[in-house]
Amino acid sequence: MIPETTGPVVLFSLPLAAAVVVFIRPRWSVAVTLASGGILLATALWVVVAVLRRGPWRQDIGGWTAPLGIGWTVDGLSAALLLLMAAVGLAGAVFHAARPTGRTPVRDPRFFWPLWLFLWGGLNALFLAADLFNVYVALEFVSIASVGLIGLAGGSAQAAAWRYLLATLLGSTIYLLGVALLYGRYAALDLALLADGVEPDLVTAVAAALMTLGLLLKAAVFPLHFWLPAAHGRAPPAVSAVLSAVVIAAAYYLLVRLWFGPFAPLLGPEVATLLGLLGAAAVLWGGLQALLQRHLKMLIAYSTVSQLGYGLLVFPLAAAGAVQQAWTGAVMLVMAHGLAKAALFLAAGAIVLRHGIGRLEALGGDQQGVVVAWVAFAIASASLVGLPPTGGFVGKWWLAQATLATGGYFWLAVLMLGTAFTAGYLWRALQAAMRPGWETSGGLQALSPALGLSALVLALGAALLGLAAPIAARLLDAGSGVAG
Amino acid sequence: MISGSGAGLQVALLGGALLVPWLFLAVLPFVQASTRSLLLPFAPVPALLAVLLLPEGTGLALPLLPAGLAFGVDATARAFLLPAALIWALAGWMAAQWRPDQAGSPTFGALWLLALAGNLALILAQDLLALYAGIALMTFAALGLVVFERTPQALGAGRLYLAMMLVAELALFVAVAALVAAAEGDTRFDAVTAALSGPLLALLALAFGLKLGALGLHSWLPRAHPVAPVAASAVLSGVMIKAGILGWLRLVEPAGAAFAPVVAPMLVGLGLAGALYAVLRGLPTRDPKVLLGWSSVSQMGLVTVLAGLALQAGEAGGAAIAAIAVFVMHHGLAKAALFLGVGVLGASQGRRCFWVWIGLWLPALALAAAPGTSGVLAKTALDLAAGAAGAGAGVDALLYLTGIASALLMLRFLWLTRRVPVPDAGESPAVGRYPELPWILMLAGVLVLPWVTFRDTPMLAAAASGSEQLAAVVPLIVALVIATAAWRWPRAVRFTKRIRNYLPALKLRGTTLSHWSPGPLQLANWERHLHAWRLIGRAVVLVTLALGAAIGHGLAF
Amino acid sequence: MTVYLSLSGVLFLIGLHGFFTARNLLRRLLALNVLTTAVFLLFVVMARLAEPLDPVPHAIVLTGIVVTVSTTAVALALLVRIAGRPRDEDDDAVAGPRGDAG
Repeated sequence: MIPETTGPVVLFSLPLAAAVVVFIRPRWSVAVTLASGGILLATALWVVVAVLRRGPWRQDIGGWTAPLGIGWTVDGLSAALLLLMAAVGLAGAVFHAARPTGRTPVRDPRFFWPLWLFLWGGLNALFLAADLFNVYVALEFVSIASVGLIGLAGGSAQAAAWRYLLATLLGSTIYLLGVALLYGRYAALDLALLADGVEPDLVTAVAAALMTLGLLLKAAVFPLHFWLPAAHGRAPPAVSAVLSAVVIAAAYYLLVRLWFGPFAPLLGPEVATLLGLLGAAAVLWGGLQALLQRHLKMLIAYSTVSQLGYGLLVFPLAAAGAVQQAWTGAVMLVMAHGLAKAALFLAAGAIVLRHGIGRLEALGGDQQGVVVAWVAFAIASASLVGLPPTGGFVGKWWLAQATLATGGYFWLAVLMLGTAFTAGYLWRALQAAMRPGWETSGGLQALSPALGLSALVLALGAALLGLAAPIAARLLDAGSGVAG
Repeated sequence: MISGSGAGLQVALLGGALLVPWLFLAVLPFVQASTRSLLLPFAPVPALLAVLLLPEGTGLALPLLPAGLAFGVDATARAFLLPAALIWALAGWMAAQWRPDQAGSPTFGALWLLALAGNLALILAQDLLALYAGIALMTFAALGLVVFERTPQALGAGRLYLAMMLVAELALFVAVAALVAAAEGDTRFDAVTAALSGPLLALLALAFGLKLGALGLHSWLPRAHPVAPVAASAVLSGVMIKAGILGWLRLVEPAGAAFAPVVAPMLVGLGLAGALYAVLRGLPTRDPKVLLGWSSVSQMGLVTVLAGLALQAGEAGGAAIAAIAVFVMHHGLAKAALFLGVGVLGASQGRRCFWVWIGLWLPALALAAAPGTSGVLAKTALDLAAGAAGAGAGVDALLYLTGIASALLMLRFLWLTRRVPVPDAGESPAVGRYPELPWILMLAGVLVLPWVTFRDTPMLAAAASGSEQLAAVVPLIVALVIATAAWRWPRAVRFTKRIRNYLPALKLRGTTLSHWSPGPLQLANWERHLHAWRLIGRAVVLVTLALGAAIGHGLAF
Repeated sequence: MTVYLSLSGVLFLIGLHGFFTARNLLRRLLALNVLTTAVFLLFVVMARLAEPLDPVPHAIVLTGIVVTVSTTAVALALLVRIAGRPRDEDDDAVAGPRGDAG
C-alpha cells in the first residue's frame, strides 16, 4: 500500500518533470501532457479520498521539520483545489491539443506545453505550501507561467500580458513586504507556527494589511481588477480557462488561508465588512460591466470579476458568527465557479473558432459543429446563475443560510442582485446563438468534437458538484482550520 | 443514504417515475432521430403508472443537495400528477407524430425531458428543496422551449419570460432559504409552514403569482405560451403554470389561517378581476394561440379565487381545495387539447380540417362550461367552495359573470379557427398511420376523465343533477346572444379592440439595456478610467488605507 | 538600524510612486525592481536585528533575488516584443496625453 504522502509528491514533481521533458522533446508534448494530466487527475482524486478517510495531514519534505525544512499541508480545502486544478488542467490540455493548428495565431507554439505544465506544477505547489515564503515563490512561478501563456496569443494579448505581469509582480512584492514584517516580528514563516503565536499588535496589523492588499491585486478584486478582463479575454482559450478558474482562485485561497489561519485574531467586524464590501462592489460592478460587453470572451472575463466577489462575502458572514456555513458556501461557490468558468471559456473558444470572430452579434446563424459547445455553455451558465441542482446553487444556498443566520440581509441582497446580473449577461450570450449571425469568412466548419466535449465534461462537473454537496461539505470541513 | 417507505417495488416505481426522464436524457445523444422522438411520449409513462398504482404514503429520500431530497405520493401530488403525466405523454406523442423534425432534434428533446423531469420532481416533492429544485429546473428548461423557434417574437417573449421568472426565482429562493433557516434546517413541509411569516408570505405570493400569471404579473404568459412549438405550448399552458398553485397549496395553505383576514379577500378580488380582465384582453386578438394564452390567465384567475376561498373557509376549506383539483385536471386537459388542436388544424387540409374543427368544439365547450362537460363540474365545485367559504352575493354574481365571459371567449376562439389556416403550421407531414390518435385520446380524456376521477365526491353529485346541467345552459345562451350581436352589429363592439387604451396597462415592461442609454456608456467610461495607472495607484493607496484603518480600528489602537 | 529601516521604507514609497506615475514602460519595470530591493533590505535588517544573527532571511533574500532576476528577464522579453508593436485602438487603458496604456 502506497502511503498518501506520495500523492503530494507526485502532484508537485510530475508536472515539473513533464515540463522539462516536453521542453526538450517538443514532439512528445501532447502525449506526455495528456498522460501526466491523467495521472495527476487520478492522484488528486486519491488525495481527496485520503483526506475524506483520514483527515488532513502535514508532511515534511526530506524529513526536515519547520522552521528549517519545507512543509506541505493537505487538508480539505487544498485537496479540493488540487482536484479543481487537475480537472481544468486536463480539460484545457485536451482542448488545446484538439484545436485546429494554424488557425489560432499562437506564437512560439513549442513553448505552450512546458509553460502549461509549469503553471500546473506551480499551482499545485501553492496549494500544498505550508509556509509564507514558499507561497511567494509559488506565486511568482504561477505569475511567470501565466504571463508567458497569455503572451503566446500574440498581438494585443501581449499588452494585456504586460499589464498582468506588472500587476501581479506588484502584488507579490507587497505581499513579500508583509511577509518580511511578519518574519521580523515572529521569526517564523510556517502557517501553523504563526497561527499559534500571532498577537494582535501594530506590526502584525500592517503585515496583514499589506499581504491582503497584494492578494487582492492578484485576485483582481474591485477596484483592482484592471488587468483581468484584457488578460483573460485575450489569452488562448485553454489559458483563459485555467487563469479564470484556478489562478484567481489561488489568490482567493491564500486570502482565506491567511484570514482563517494566522490572522484570525485580527478578523474584526470592521475589516471583515470592508472585505465584504469590496466583494459586493466586485459582484455588482463586474456584473454591470459584463452586461455591457460586446465580445463573448470579454463578457466571460468580466463575469470572473463579478463571481469572485461572492467569495469575499465569507469574511463578514464568518465574522458575524456563521463560520461553518459561510466557509463551505464560499469555497463551494469558488469551486463551482472554477469548473463552470473553465467550461465557459473552452466553449467560447470553440464557438469563436467556428465563427471566426468573437463579437456577440456575429455568433448566431448556423451552429454546425459547436452545438455541444453551446450545450456546455448553457449548463455552465445554469451553474453560475445557481440553478438547482448545480454546484453554484449549493454554494449560494449555504451563503444564503449564513446571511439569514446572522441577519445580514444586505449580503443576501447582494447575492440576489448578482444572480440577476449573472442571468442577464449569460442570457445575452446564449441569445446570440439563436439570432441570425454574420456570414464570416474566417469561420471553420470542421472542428474536432473534443473541443466541445472538454467544455461539456467540465460543465457537467459543475452541475454534478451540487448533487455531491454532502460529500463536498464533509471534505471542506476536514481540518480546514475553521472552528466549526 | 437512499431510503424509501412502502414496498420495494412501489418505491422502485416512484424512483423510476422521477429518473426515467434523466435516463432518456442520458441516452438522447446516442440514438437515432426516429428513436429520439419516441422517447418523448414514453418518458412520462412511469409517472402515469405511479399515479395509477401507487398507494398514498409511498416515499423516497435521496441524499443529494445540502439537505437531501424527499419525494412521495400524497393526495395533492396525485391530483396534479394524473393530468400532468397524461398531458406530457400525449403532447409528446403529438410532437413525435406531427413535428418529427422538432421531436427528433436533440435540443428539443433535452429541453422537453428536463422540463418534464422538473415538473415531475416538483409534483412529487415532499420537502421544500425538492419543490424548489423542481420549479427552477422546469422554469428554465421551459425558457428553452419558449425560444425554440428562434424567431424575433420568440426571443422577445423569451426575454420577458426570463426577466419575470428570474424575479420569481429570486423571491422564491429567498423565501425558501428563509423558511429553512427559520425551521432550523428542517426542510419538511410541515416544519417550514409553521415558520411562515408576513414578509415571507409576500415573497411566496409574488413568486407563485408570477408562475401562475396572476393579474398584474401575467404579462409574460400571453406572449410566451403562443410562441413556443404547439406541443410545448400545450404542456406550458396545460401543466406547467399549475406549479404556482401547487406551491401555494404546499407552503401557504396549511399555515394561512393567521393571514386569511388580509390575504383571502385580496386573492378573491385579484382573481375575479384577473378572470374578467383577461377575457376582455383576449377577445380582440386574432391569433387563436394568443387567445388561448389569455384564456389561461382567466382560468388561473379563477384558481386564485379558489385559493382565497380556501384560506377564508379555514377548516372548511376542503371544498375549495377539491375544486382546485378539479380545475387543475379540467383546465389542463382542455387547454392542452385546444393547443394541440390548433396545431393539428394548421397541418390539416380540406375536409379533414373541418372535422378537426368540430373536434375543437369539445374542449372549447368544456372551458365554456356547456352542459355535460367537465366545465359544469368545475363550475359547480367553484360554487360549492364559494358557499362553504361564506362568500357574499357579490362574489357569486361576479363568478357568474366570469362564466359568461369564458363562454364568450371560447365562442370567439371557435369563430377564429373556423377555417383560417394557422400561419405557423409545421411544414413536414405527419408520420404514423393514425397521426390524430393522441389528440382523439386527449379529447376522450377531456370528456370522461374528470367525471371518472371525481366520481364519489359531493361536487359530482351536485353537478350531475339535472338542474345544474340546465342552469349551465344559461350563460352559454347569453354568450351566444352577445356573440351574435357582435357579429351582426360589429360597430357596437368595436370598443373591445381599443380595450388596451381604456384599461390600465397592468403589465411589467421588459426594459432592454438600450433604453438606459446613456447610462451604460457612462459605466463603460468609468471602467476605462479604472484601467489607467494613475487611478490604479490611487485605488491601491485607498484600499491600503481602508484596510489599515479597518484592522487598526478592530484592534482599537 | 533605524536608518536602514527608514531607508527601506523610503525606497518602497519611491518605488510605488514611480510605478504608478512612470510613462515609460522600462521605468515602470525599474520602479518595480526598486520596490523589490526595498523589501530585501527590510529582510536583511530583520536578520541583523535578530539575536543571535538569523541566517534564514539571507536564504530568503537569495531566493528572492533569483526570483526577481527571472521575473525581470520575462518582463524584459515581453517589453521588447511590445515596444516594436504599434499600439492598437482597443487597448482598454485610457490613453493619457502621451498614451498611458503600457
